[in-house]
Amino acid sequence: MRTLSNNLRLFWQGALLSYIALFHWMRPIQYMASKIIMPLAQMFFFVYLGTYATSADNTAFYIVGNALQIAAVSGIYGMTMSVGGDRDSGTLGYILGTPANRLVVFMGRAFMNILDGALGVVIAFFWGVALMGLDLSNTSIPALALTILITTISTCGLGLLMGCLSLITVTVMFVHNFVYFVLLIF
Amino acid sequence: MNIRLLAKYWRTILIVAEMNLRQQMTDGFVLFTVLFQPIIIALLGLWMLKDKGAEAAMFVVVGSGLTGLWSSLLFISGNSISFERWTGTLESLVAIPTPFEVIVSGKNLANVVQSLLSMVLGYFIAVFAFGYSLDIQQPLLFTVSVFLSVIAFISFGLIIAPIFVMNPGVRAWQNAMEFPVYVLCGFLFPIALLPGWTTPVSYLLPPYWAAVALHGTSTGGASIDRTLFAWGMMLLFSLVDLLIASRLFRLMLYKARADATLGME
Repeated sequence: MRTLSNNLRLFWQGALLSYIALFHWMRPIQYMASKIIMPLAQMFFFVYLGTYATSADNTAFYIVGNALQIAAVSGIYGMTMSVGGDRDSGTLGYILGTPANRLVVFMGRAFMNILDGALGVVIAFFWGVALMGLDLSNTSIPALALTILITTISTCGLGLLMGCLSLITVTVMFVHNFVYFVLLIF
Repeated sequence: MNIRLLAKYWRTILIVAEMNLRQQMTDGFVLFTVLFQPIIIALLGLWMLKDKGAEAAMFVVVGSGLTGLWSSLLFISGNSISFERWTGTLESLVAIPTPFEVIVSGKNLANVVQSLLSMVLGYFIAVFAFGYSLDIQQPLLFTVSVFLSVIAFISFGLIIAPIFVMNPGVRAWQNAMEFPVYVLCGFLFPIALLPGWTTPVSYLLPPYWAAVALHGTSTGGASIDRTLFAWGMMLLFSLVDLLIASRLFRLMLYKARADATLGME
């Protein structure tokens, strides 16, 4: 019972602290720039490119595709930096050296990124409806919510894998940038 | 300013550019920004515009190269002074007799020139992977456009770097500034698709005029008057940027000395 409560505490504290450190909450503007403006600008770019390439009838396809891809901002960047960032800042050795359950530590980090990623997708859908005329009147909201959740969890899983890869490569930035953009294609 | 001094500065710019190129060729982030990201964007654009023929393919090749130029300018040139600060070499560079802006110009030259590689790679992808037969319609005018674009981008980069150093709050928006310029400068689609109120903003951005000149001369879609106008705007913006940059550099170095924060983040 004590192990369980210790693990739960570790899970929650790890989740919260890594999230606070990740976006440098001392400057919330960085969060705004990374999580709200950048995804919106990216969406505009691909929606305009898509409608130019095909037709305005396909706008919804590009909005929905890009909105779901926003999950990768937290899933790929967040998760990769959660692992690789510790290496860069020299704290990975301490984490691996503590008796704490590693699965719990890293799952805790993924947890906040899942919540944050899902929020990012919701914000992107909001932009889609408010600014680009996305029609969700025939959408099953629970099904959409489940899709968002599953997409975010799976993207975080991929991000965790990339984070592990970043431990055996010199540059974390290359790994997560590459995977993020490859997701746009596949 | 005499010719001998200018020749010395030019030699410094070339040496700094060479050093920078050698240093950055092994940096994963730089390689991604100047090569991989534009190629991915080129692949996406070529797939999406595959029904529109060779002219659209050329538009994508040039446009994706421009995305590489802008991203490199924003992230690599934008952090060029901060990078020296992080590596502890800023004090030495500021202390030498060569003006600091000459050194940053050399760094920007390297960044812009290596970004042009993405345009070449995009061309080969369009030709070999998608089977297009692509010809630059006005090769001479295109070459001049590339040359003027390089100057315009270097000058623009000289403004961005000191602004980012003096205002960490602005640098926080770096990630958010990448795609808006892709959109506003019409790198991969005409700005006519955008709402009318954004057009004056596009006109104020030197990369827009680079896009007008490069797209127009590569596809042959622009009249000579329009190309000449775009060249004129690039030269005008380069001059204005250089004037502003010289003041910004002076201000940045004065502030750094007065506050004793030259080597501090």
